Amino acid sequence: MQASIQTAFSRANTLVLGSPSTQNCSAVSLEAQFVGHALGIIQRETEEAHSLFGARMKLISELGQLQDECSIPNWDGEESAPLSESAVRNAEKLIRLLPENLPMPEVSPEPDGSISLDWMPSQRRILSLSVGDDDYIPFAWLRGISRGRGVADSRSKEFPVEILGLLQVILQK
Amino acid sequence: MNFLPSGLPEVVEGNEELAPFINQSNKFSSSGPKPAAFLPNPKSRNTSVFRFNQQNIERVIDAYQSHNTTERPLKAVAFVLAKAVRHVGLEVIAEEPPPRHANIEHWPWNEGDLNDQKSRQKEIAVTLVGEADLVVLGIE
Repeated sequence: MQASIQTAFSRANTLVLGSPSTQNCSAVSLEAQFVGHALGIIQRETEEAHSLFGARMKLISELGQLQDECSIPNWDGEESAPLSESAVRNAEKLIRLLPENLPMPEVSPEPDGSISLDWMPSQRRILSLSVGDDDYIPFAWLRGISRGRGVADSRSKEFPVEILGLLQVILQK
Repeated sequence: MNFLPSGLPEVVEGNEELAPFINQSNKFSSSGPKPAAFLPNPKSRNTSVFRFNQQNIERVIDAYQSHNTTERPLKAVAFVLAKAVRHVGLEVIAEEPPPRHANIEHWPWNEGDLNDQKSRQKEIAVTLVGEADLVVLGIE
């Protein structure tokens, strides 16, 4: 927070003192303008951080609701398996590892008790991961008429790099 | 040509629409059905579908209500052509009762490597998503 405030004041300083239009303004003191700009920057950056944090927390909360909804065998009347505890734990871990600048996926239950994490900007641009009981993540993607698949290793403390690369491609218009 | 008790031909034709029922709202989004809507059930090793077209949505709802034993309402239906299913290497086999029921069969299975198996199934499922038409129902 301290660093953020310092950055905001430094940016406000540049904006206020470096701007000829504000230098001619006599109704409000330079100090007041400086503080006003700094507060604006702090507010915007705080809102941005809350929004990113909020989206992640909302998704984790949705994951919990999904687990409750799909907790018994044959929960859908189509013989689907209940979502397993470890699948939910692994999905949450992956969501927490996702870099902040990327959109959150959507979650859905799979018939075998795994959890699907899906990015679907359109019906022909899809990246779908299957998070189950182990540390390996089967995935598949579709972009136009191209498609592919693989299995990523999620044992490291970073989000799997190959999935990040594919995600950039899928998100590109 | 042989006919089933429902009156439909035993062999599912390429231009017939197939409808997996979606009774969980996370299985579709504004972009379309999600891959999970098409994945096979590991017990039956197939995806259960009904042979209806989009013009008969009331009949789809009736079929769901007679078939599904849970209290979950039908949320959406993903229609896909039988020929699109065959194009990705799967097969559609009629199985009645219930009337108009069929299964999408021949999904890849690999007991020795379940992750490989799942990624193969997912690749097919994302392809089917790209070919499907989603009808969202306003039933709560």
